[in-house]
Amino acid sequence: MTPLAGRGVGIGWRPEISGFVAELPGLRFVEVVAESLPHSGEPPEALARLLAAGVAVVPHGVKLSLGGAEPVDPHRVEHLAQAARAVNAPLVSEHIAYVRAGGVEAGHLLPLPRSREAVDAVVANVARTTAELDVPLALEPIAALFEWPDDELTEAEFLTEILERTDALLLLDIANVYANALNRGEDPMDLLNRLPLERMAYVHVAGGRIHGGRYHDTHTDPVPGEVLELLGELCARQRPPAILLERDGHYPPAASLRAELDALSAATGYPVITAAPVT
Amino acid sequence: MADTWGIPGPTFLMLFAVAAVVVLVGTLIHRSRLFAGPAQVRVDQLSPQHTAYLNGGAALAVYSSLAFLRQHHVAAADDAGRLTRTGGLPPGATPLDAAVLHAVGNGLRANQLHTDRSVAEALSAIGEELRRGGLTVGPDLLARARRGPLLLLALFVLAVVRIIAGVGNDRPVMFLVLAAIPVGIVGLVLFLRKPRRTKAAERALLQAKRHFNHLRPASRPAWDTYGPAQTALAVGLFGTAVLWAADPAFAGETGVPERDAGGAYGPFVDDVGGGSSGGDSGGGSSCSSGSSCGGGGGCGGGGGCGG
Repeated sequence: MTPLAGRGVGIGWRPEISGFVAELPGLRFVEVVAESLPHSGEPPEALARLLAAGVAVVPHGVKLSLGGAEPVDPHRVEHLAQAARAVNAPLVSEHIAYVRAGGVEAGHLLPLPRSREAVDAVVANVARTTAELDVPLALEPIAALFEWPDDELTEAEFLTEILERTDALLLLDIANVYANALNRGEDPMDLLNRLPLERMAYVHVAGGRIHGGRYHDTHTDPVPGEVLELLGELCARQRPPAILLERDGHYPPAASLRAELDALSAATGYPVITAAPVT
Repeated sequence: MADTWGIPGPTFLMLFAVAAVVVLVGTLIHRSRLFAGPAQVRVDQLSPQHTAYLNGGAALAVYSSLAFLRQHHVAAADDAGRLTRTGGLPPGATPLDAAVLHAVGNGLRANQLHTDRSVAEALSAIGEELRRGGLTVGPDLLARARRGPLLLLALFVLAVVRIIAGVGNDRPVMFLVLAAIPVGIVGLVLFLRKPRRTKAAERALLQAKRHFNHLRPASRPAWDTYGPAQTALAVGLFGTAVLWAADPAFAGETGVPERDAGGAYGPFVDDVGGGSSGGDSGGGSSCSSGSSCGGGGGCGGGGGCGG
């Protein structure tokens, strides 16, 4: 039984749209940026109300830098663990990426070279992190606009090895899979066929757009039909336990946002969350 | 030496103190009943403009309406910062929206909209509805609430007269002076206090601010997601800072004030009448109206003191 089994379609909780999220009658889970949660004490009131209504809250870290060559910052790990406790989270998630090196903050999630050395570094950092966590950790591969020249492993090999050695769950970003395949001229199904999909904890879906001949995973544009199709194909292979819409800016009118959530329900067969659940 | 007015000092002092306490208690009970408002008020049952009017006065109701129209893309600003109309009346518009949109078409600036005659009429209709609903304190209610404080002031005047007479009669007046001063101050403070809203309205507003906390500009709310009606409500609850947050260029060009909510938006248009205080000066006679003024019976005693 995976931690989010039966949670269906969720949405990334952001203060900007918290009033919209609070009014989704069928909502069963949200994700919240872990670094935005207070280090101690109660979660924000709006989140507390969701928790009281039985909505699961998943802290999603963005600044741990699990892929860094140096060990993860113990304070950041502790904060992630505290955040998980504060919202009684069923699991937490982070990226397979690095955001700082040699003390310099990149301000972005940067891709790792797919080398054995990088795998070792990630595995060591995940071990340091899970040692402090009371709940499972799901790892999310990131979109990469470029490839490192000396990749020893394919993306599937790289991810599979990390997941197997860490026993972590997979947070698959279907828009990233689409973006990477499009930008590299590959078939996205090739990657899906090779990934350990049974390890999926949940799936991210986000919008993006073509700019300068490349697909950018912006999180501020509508979800393209191609991404929804790919989501449908993923579900045909293995339906993820839960699915989350990520939107980080340029928030559209409520009706459009509801339509995107409904489109996720349609693509996955999970119940519509924009209407009251039928009991 | 004879007692002043034939009443011994300690007796007068005691009668004065008893009368003052009885009148004060009666006044406080009377006022708390007058200002209580209806038992059940839910601001989410009011329109955003009613909420705005209740919270920040007539001017804020106009800015709330302007936010609604702007979010519907039917109001814009020209190069000179004058408002221009760019569309028809959107669905869900209120009479105030219609009046404001009409005024927008006349090329006013945002801070002049309330001077338009039809806008002023729509505003006074909202003011009247709030008053009838027991949410705001109108001149009528205020006049009734001032009867008690007037009695206190009358007692104070009586004490002053007695003090003057006592000094002339060479009697000690120190205790009466000490007793009269607080009565005068409390009477004056209560007389001058003009709550704009009833307690029920205050509670409902607080509740609404909590319920719609996500509409505070500090959360950088996604206005497009919340839509025009909720943006208008946000202006009503959290002030013109919302317009500045949602559309800074428009707010700046058209002269929307940047100050935060809390009554900084000029007077309640219905509150400036000031009520005729002449009707209140009857003092003792007004006592008969309120049951709580049964305490005012003490003032009958006061009358006896005067004799």
